[in-house]
Amino acid sequence: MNGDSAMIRCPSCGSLNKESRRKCDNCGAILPQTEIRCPKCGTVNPVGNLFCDHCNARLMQQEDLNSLASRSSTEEPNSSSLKGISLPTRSPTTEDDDQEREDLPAWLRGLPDEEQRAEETGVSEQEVLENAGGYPDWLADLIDEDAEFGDVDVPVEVEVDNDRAASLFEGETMPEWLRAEVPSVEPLATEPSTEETEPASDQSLASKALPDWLSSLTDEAAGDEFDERELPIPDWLSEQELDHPEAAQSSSTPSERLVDTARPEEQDPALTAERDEMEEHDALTEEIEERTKNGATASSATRETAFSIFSETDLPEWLSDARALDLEDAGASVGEASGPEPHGAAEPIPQAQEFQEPPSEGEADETADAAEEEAVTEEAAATAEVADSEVTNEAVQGPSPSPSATTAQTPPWEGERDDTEEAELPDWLAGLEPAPPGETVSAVFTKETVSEVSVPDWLRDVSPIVEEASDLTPTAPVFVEDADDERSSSDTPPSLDEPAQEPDWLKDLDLLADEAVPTRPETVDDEAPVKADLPPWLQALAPSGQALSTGPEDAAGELVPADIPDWVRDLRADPNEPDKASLTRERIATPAEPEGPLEGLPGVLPSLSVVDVPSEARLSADSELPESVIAQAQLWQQLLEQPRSVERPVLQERVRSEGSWGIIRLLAGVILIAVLLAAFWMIPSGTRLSQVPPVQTAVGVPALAAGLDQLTPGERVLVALEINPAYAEEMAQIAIPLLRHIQAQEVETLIVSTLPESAGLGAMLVDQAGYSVTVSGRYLPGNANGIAEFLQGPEAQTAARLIVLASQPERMRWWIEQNLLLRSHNGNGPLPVSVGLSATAGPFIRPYLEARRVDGWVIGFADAVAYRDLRGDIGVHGRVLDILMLAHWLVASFLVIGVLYGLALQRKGSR
Amino acid sequence: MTETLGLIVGAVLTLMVFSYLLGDNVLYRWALALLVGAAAGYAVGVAARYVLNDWIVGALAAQGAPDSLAYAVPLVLGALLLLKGFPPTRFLGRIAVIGNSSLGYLVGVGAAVAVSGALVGTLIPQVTVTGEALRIDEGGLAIAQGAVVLLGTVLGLYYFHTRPHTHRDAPPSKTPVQQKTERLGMAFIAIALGTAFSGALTSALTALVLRLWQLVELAERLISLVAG
Repeated sequence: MNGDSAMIRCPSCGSLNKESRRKCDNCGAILPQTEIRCPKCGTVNPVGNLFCDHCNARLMQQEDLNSLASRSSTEEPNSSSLKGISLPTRSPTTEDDDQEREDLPAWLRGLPDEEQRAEETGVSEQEVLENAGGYPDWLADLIDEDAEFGDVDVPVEVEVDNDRAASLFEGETMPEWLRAEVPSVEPLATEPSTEETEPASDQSLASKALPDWLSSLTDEAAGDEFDERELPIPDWLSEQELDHPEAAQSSSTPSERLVDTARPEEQDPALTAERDEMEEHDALTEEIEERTKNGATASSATRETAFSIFSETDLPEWLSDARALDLEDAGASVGEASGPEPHGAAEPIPQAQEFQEPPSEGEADETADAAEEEAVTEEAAATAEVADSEVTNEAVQGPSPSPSATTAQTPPWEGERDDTEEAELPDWLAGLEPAPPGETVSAVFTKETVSEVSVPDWLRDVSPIVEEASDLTPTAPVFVEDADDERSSSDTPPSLDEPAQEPDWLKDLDLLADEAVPTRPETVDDEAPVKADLPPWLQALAPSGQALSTGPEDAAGELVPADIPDWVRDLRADPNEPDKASLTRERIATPAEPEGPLEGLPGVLPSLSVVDVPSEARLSADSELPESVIAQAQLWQQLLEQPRSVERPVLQERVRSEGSWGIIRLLAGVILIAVLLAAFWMIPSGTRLSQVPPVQTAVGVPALAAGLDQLTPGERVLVALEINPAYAEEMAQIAIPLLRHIQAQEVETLIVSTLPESAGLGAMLVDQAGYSVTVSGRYLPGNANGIAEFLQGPEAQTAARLIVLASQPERMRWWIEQNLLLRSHNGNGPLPVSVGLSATAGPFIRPYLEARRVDGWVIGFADAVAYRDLRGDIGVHGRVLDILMLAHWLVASFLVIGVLYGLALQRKGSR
Repeated sequence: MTETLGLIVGAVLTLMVFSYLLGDNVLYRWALALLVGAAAGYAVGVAARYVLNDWIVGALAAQGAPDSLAYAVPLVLGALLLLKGFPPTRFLGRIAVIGNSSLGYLVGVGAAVAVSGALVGTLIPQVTVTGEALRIDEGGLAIAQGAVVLLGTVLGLYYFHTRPHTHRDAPPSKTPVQQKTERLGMAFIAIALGTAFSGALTSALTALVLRLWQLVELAERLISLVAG
């Protein structure tokens, strides 16, 4: 396919469109269809296909095919321009030869007929047959190859056929075609031939020439008698006779008597009516018998009768022609056996070479398979597209009771069996023997139909169709655009769905394969209506009260012309109107060309259509990313672009040396110590830097002093020393004034601690406090557990106050918590608690102080000095407190200087 | 004389600790090791004196099964706890698991006591005080103080309740109001930590000043001694 074939020029505007487009992109006009969509499965098939590649359904209507064939014959009478026509079809209503020829497929029309060959070669058909011994050239070639074949006489074949028929049809229902054939050879079977032939050799020749499947039947039928008069005539045969009496009476060419009975209009589904007309059939049968008896010596009447009979077998036309020639030869042989005409060896006839090369055995099988599969996929009756095999078969058998049963008749090979037995069949004909069951089914069958048709057992044995037909359910023809049809087709055996394979030899006949192939019309004409399958949504659009004739009985039964309602027709798109889809596209007026050879000409270039784009789909090119993300991305990019050989920079913080920091620390420490020492010496004693008395700033000191003042002599005071050695100096300044106060109250003091080192510190503090009495000390192991145990002991139960001196907030909390918990459970109430804390633990104990769970407190050296001041024992501690205040100022100054220095460094580093 | 000797030793040790201003040195380490060793040795002596001696003497002197059992059980549990000191790779280490019972007893009882004490003695009083901090009848200053206490408590708890940001560039998962509330809570926590640091600094300066005062006293005594 060249490049131009991929584009379709719009017939309306002339613009090029893609091949797959159905409508023009420019004007919306409907484009010539380049693809055929399968009406069954919707698969898009190339235009050259007549059958769907997917489901094997026929893609073209019969009317289209007829019109195509007629057009093709008109334009090219002797050329076959159609491709892929698997089986020929013919119109059932045509009677003249021209119309009949138009109904033939193109490849068959390409074959010259007898008259044409006679005109071309100057040798008549009869002469050809006589010269060739009554066989066509391809059969004559076979005769030449087999030297013994020339000695085979027809009577021998007839005798074999007679024996076989007598054995097979004894007591069985014999088909009509066999009934009509047997009388013609019966005299030959009963009367010995005038030309002596050796029976033994004939028998061997016959068995040798016949295919195996026929030979086996011959052996089985040997010795049986045959009486056709006693055989009942099947119903289907009588139906055939009633519907088509001309088939038996006509003496014209076989093609003229071929009547397509597959059309449902011509079928009579009533089986009872067929039985009523059996008498007419009997009369016809007797007439045939008489004619065959009279012409047993190869008279013309016999040949015509045989011709008519064999022309009605289920064979293609080309095969029917060959069979007709064969029959004539057989008649000639019979006549020769009776006397006059010699039966000599066949000379090669040039005219006979015009026949196509006979297909091989495998190709013949494929031909038969394709014909039967096609019969399944086609409409059984309405489309009149049944293969010639079906046509001829039905011509013999008559119309079936139902369309589905039309093909449930004698299979094609049954009609040629006798013929095959009469003469040695070539290999390609031998390949037409019955296909194994399950491979091919010529039509859809129903149980009722099969049961009603009287089929002999031997037919049931050799015919796979009959066997399979008994298991099939009624189905509608496949090629019906109806949902019910598809549902029915799904019930068919799997073999029916297999696509028909076109035989190679048939492909070879397609001379003009790639030529112009007609396309399927876009719209459906009223002349060729199809059964409309209205989808549910379309049915919903139907006006109320208007019935839709899509009943399943129409699909399953005979096909009727589709009656598409007008309102449905109105829904179709008008090709003259622009498509709705094209209306949605706005057109931009093309301005005039600003420059170039087309300058000033507007509309030269096609305008671009505006396509609506959702606003959400706009690209956010202006989206901002965080600077940090951009910086990281740039860094990654630099690192990735930098080769590994180059030393990558590593962020290193400039670390000051230990010596520089040591100098700074030393300088600060020296300054601090120097200032404090100077303060001690430079500030005269008795001079207070702070003018505010310490007791005024210490809130808890008065409460503590008041609580200790309430102690009476002899009461027990529990003093808990929870002091780390690091805080011993500070806590000593707090504990000493308290212990002196307790000693002054003359109470019993019990010093306990959960820290081992506090016990020794307690002893030191007692010494510094000037205790004159023995103070017992005790270590409480187990932290909170030890405190809880101690508070539940007898020593704590008799205590009057608890004084906790703690340098760490945790142990201070343990004492307060266990005091509140255990003492409350005992009913005695918690002990009054007074605390002395270091400056470190003070902020953490503030909630307890605010909760007023503590009766007075001393926090840090400042409160200790205040307590001393309250007790009148401040001494030099006031001076120390002033120096401590100076140290705070000095340290605060250092902190401020350090912060400013750090900020200065940070600003310098940022630059 | 003893006091003077004590002042001299104390002054020398103080100078050795102050030597840390020049960096880590042997004098500082000697002073530090002397402090830790003296405290540990004193603790061992106290434990031996007030724990082992008292319990063992008491157990030996116990009269009757109840008293003996009361002393025996803690001793047995204590002895099993000693097995936890063996390294697990040796043979005795395999029987160290026996001490887990004593350890479990200690942890369980300690947790029970701590939790119950914290609930009754800390949490409930603190919640109560926080609620009582806002006292309208005591004037504007008390109201302001109570409001600050209440607000600081709530915002501090809210800050720990919320999840901190994992990355600065991560998309904010909180509303601006929540972010500002967190920052207020963080500010209250910073103030509380600063206050705690000031208390520690005050304790350190107190110790420094007291040491310098002792050095000054020593110097004055030495001067007086020298001056006569």
